[in-house]
Amino acid sequence: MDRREFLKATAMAAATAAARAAHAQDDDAVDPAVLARGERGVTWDKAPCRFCGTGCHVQVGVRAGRVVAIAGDRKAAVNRGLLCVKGYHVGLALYGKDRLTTPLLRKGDKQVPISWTEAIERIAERVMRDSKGFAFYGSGQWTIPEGYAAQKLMKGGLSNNHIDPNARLCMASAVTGFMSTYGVDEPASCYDDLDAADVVILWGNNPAEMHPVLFSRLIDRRTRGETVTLIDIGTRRTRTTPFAQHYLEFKPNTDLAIANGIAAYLIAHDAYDKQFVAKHCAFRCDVAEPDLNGQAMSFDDYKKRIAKFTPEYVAKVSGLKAQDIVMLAELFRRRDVKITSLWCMGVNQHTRGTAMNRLIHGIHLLSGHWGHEGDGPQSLTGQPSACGTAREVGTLAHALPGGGVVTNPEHRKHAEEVWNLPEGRILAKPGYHTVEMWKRFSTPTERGGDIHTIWVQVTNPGQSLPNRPLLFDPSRTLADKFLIVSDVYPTETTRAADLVLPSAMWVEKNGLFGNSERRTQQWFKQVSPPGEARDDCWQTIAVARKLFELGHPGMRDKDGAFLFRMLDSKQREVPIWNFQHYYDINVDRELFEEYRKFSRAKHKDLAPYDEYVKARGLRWPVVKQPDGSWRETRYRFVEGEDPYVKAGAGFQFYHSVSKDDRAQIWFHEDDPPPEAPDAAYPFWLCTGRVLEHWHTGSMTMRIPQLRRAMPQAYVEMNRRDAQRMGIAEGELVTLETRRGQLQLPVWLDGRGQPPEGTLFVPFFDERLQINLITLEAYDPVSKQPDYKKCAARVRRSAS
Amino acid sequence: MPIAGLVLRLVRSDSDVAPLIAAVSALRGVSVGPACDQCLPLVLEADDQASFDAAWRELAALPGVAMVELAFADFSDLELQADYEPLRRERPFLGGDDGPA
Repeated sequence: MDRREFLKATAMAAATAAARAAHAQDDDAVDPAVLARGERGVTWDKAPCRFCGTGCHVQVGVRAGRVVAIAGDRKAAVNRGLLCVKGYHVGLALYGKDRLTTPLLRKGDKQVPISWTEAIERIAERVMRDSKGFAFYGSGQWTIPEGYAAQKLMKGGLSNNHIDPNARLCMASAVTGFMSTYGVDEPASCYDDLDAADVVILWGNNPAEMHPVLFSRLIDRRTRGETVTLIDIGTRRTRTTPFAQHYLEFKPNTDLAIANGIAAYLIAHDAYDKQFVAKHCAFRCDVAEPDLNGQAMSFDDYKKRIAKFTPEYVAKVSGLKAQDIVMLAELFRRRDVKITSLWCMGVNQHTRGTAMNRLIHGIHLLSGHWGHEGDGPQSLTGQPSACGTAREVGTLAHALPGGGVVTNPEHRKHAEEVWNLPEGRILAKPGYHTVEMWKRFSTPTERGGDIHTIWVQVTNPGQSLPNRPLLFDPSRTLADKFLIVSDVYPTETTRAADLVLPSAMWVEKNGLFGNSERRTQQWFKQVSPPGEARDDCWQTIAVARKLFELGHPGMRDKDGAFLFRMLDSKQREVPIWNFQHYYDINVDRELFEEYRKFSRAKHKDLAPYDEYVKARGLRWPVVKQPDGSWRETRYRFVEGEDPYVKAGAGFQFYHSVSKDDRAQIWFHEDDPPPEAPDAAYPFWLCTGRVLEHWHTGSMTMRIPQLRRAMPQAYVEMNRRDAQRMGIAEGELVTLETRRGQLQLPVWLDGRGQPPEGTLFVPFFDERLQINLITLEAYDPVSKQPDYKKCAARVRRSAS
Repeated sequence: MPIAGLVLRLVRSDSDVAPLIAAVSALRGVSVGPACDQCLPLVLEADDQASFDAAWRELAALPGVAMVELAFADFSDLELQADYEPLRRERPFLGGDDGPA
């Protein structure tokens, strides 16, 4: 058999195995990795996909130090051997020709190569000059150890809480929604719901493009003859819509009214789950200045305030029909159907994002559709470790590892104990959240711009921040502001940077991610990064060591030892700050085992590192069993599933905001948005992703197959609007908001179909950056900006 | 010469899937495996990436196909160097010769 025939046989084996695994007939299916062992020189190992928050596992084929093949991992519970088009190409993301391979320092208008030694010294100098004005900006693409090291450097070492991830831009409202409803962050349910739900409600969610492998689990059930009813509640038709039995199109910003309408109907018709509510729920509402926990309210008060959201009122506000509200409410009334709600950016990137998250949880709690397989709310994330790193490690400006917060003295004390720091090292005041951090970086120092240096890792704020001319660009004209960027490719951020550090990516380094269903996933380094590119975690530790050598007191623990001291098996300190020795020990394992000590405080227990080496991820809390094995948890707060629920309780929200084991059902009014269409700017503008590209496209635009499939950004427009304005398909138009303007080609009846008066632009294209003109207004509790709604106008560019 | 292992998810219907399998088999570069419930595994082999993309689209457009999914990809024969040329935009910078540090 020649090599090509061999590859075809392997491909067929993989496809057959995936088809069988999808139907749980995989006992004798052939593992592609096993089959491929026959090919000389190719080694296979597991890794989670580098892109979205679904957490698919791939098998990575490596030959001669290069990734040459990718297969879906049939042993992975998340994707069962299947991948989407991005996962298929994930191996190619490593091999764009313009990888960054050497540190670069800006000199005048050029960026010139420098040594790693000089680069690390430059960063240390900036910190030593004024550590309070130094900030760290990361993402949900930080691996767990990378985020943990950055967190420890900042909060434990520099006594500085100005660390925030780009996750602030994508799921901060989900965090505040969970925390204020259950007293602790992250979904209680899991993807198993997708295999059991009778009805799936998609709240402003387009999984056919954004989470295609999860969506295929639903479609697969249909192909097997099962009935799964999809209800797409959105502001524009997407690729998901044709699969839905019901498409309910609402006016932007009226989703709160819809959720309230369902709750009001259940109350008015005495159709809520009285037993569940009486035993497990309490009611809550905002105080004058909205905050995380609000204030308690009585059921009678809740009933009185929600009464106005009749189907007729909601129909008038939202554009839905009254019978649509009744249909939704009647579904929640039924006890014989299982209902799963899914949502992601449509709900989170919202100036009322926290409120909308709470209301979705509230409908499920009120109706008792909670805590059973297929029956509950499940928020999705967009980044591979938004949960594992940003939320669990807590790389947010207010957070500490394991669900702690800096404002809580007990949490600070615990962190100081784990890190062996002197008492009082960690500051109690939260640092600047993302928008505030960048605003201060872009404000002259003499006018209160007290952030002088930002170190960016694994993200591209020059393209992803809203209203870039306000938040990003001004800093580049201020001589005392210094931007450091670690990345793998040139981006809008690296081009504007003062110092650029070339990073290793994905299987060029060890790593751990945590996906949207509390699943922690591990992988090993499989190939070497190009040139002098190095691990982000090493970069952080190397800077810490330089600060240690320069005498920064924060780099020592209370016994005088280096903050990141690591010992080998003979108890000798390993100089991991020297890259030649970084892989002498497994730094990921060392950091993870330390981090694990935090995980029990909020019952987010993690297993030892080596358990994750063996598994395709484990969902926390992971608890040791009497026989020595480690058991994961599918459903939190549910007796029989969650080991921390007391026997006989049924359900127990043991981190309850009201301290009585109850979840909170919130009431919120449907307030107007900060900016809405008017005579001058008559359109709604919505932004988002597309199937082929991930986030700002810095990786996927370098994969020829993906770029060819979706080469550039565009503006989706309703055909009737276009006809009225004399605009033709493909015509270049000028799109304008109060922040600026942009020229884009028009796509009519394309992949998404916005209703009249609505526009959509994807944000992946750095050549056509929609965030030059988006609005920076944010949710008052989560501080997450609203990328989904602002006012805009369109004119023909020729006119 | 891309080679991929694909899985077609078929729309459930009472009609015989044999005509669909025949239509898939007739496509150039396609080898069909044994159907499993409503899934059809196959290998797609093409001369170049453009042909591969076209064949993928053709598969996805066949009546009775709900989704096309991927289970295996080999790109060891492909030119891996991407030819992406991002827009270079001049940026004003007001620091000194040695940068603002």
